[in-house]
Amino acid sequence: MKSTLPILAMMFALGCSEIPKDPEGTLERVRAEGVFKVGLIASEQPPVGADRSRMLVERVGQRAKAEPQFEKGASEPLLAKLEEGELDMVIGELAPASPWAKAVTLLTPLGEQVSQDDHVHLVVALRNGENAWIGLVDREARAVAAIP
Amino acid sequence: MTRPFPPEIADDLKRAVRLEYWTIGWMLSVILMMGLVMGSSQAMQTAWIEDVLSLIPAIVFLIAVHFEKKAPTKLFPFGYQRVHSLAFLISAVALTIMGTVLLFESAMTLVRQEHVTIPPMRLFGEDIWMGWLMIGALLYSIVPPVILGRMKLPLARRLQDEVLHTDALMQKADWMTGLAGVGGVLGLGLGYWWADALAAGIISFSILQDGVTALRIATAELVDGAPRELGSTGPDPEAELLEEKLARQYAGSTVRLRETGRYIHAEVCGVQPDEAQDLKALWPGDPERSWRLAQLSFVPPDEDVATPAYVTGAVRPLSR
Repeated sequence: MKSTLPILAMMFALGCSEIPKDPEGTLERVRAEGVFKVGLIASEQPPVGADRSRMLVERVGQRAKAEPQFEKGASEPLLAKLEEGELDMVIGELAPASPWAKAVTLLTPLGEQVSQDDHVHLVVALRNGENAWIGLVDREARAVAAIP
Repeated sequence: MTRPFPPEIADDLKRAVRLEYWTIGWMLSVILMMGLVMGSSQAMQTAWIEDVLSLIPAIVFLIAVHFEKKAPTKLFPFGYQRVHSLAFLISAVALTIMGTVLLFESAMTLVRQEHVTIPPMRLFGEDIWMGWLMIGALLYSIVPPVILGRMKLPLARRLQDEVLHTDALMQKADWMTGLAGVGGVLGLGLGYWWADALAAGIISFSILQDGVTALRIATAELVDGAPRELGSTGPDPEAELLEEKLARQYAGSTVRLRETGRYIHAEVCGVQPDEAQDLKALWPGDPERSWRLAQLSFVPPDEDVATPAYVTGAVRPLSR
C-alpha cells in the first residue's frame, strides 16, 4: 500500500500537468505577455556569484519563453513589491534568518558566502503561493545551484 | 494485586486492548507518512495534528484498563475505576483547546489572505508537485482509522466504555478529515488560495466538536451524574429500569444511581438492608449485562439526626 502511493502520485502528476495553478496567475501572465520582472538587490561589493544570477534568469526566460525586465534597488522595497505582485522574482544577498523568509518564498540558495561575522546567501525570492511559477523557477534554480 | 474483570466482558476487553495497540501502530505509520510530506499546507498540518490527537483516546484507554484491574488499596479503598473518567476528561480538555487554537489559526489565515506555497519535490529523478504526495498521504490516512473505528464500535457498546466509544466515533468520522484535506490541497492546486485554510477550518471544527462532546460526557461522570447512555448526555435506559425496580422493591426509600467508569453503583436510602443480595438477579435488563451493577448500598434511616435533605429530598426526574 505504502510503496504504491508514490507511483500513484506520479501517475497523477503526469496526468494533471495543469496543476498546480497560480492563485494570482503569475505564470500565465508571464507566458501571455512574454515578460517577467526581476528585482536585483544592490550590494556594495559585487554580489556572491553574479554569474549564477544571470544564468538563472536566462534559463527561466528560456523555459517560460519570456524576456526579463530588470529593476535594481534595496532589498526592502524590492521584496515589498514582490509581495504585492509588482515583481515576479527578486535575486540578491539575504541573511538566512531574514524576517522576509516567511513573507516570500525563498528557493535553494544559488550560492553562499560565510565570513567571520556574516553568513550571506545568494537567494531567489518568489511571491508566496504562486505554485506553478515557483515550480518552474525552482527547477532552474536547483540546476544552477548544482553547478560546481 | 489485581482483581478480575467480570467474566462476561473479559474477552471483549482483551480484544479492545489489542485493537488499541493496533490503532497506535497504524496511526504512527500515518503520522510518519503525513509528517514527511506535510510542508506548509495548513489543511495538511491540521489533519496531521488531528492524527496525533487520535492517539490520545487509545493511550487513555490502555492506561485506564491497566488501572481498572488494580485491587483497591488502603489509600484508594474504592479502587481505580474512575481513573477512566479522569483520563477521559484530560483528553477532552486537550481536544477542545487544540480545536480552538487550530480554528483560530485558519480563520486568521483567511483574514490575512496568506497564500500558501507548496513547492515541487524531486523524487526518483522527477519533479513532482508536493501537493500530489500530500493527497496520497491523506488518502492513506483515511483507511486505518475508518476500519479500526468500525471494529471498535460494537465492542464499546458491549463494554459500556465511553473512552473506547468516543475513540471509535472519532475514527469512524476520520474519512471526513481526510477528504477535507484532499479538497484543500487540490483546491490550492487549482489556484484557490483559500481552499487550504478553509479545509483546515473544517477539520479543526470537527476536533473542537469531538472535544466538547467528550467534555460533556466526562463531566457528567465525574460529578456523580446518573448513568448516561453511551456516547450521549441523556439518561441510560438500562439504569432507569434498575432504578424503577429498586424503588418498587424498597417502598418509601430514595434510590440513587451513579456511574463509575463502566459500572453502576446503586444506593437505597432510608431503609434497612436486606440480609443478602443477588446483584445479578436484581438487574432488570439483558442478563449478559448484569455485571454493570457493581454495588448496592443501603443508608439506614437515622432516628436521632434528621437525614440531610439532599439524601431524602425527592430526586427530580431528568427532563429530556
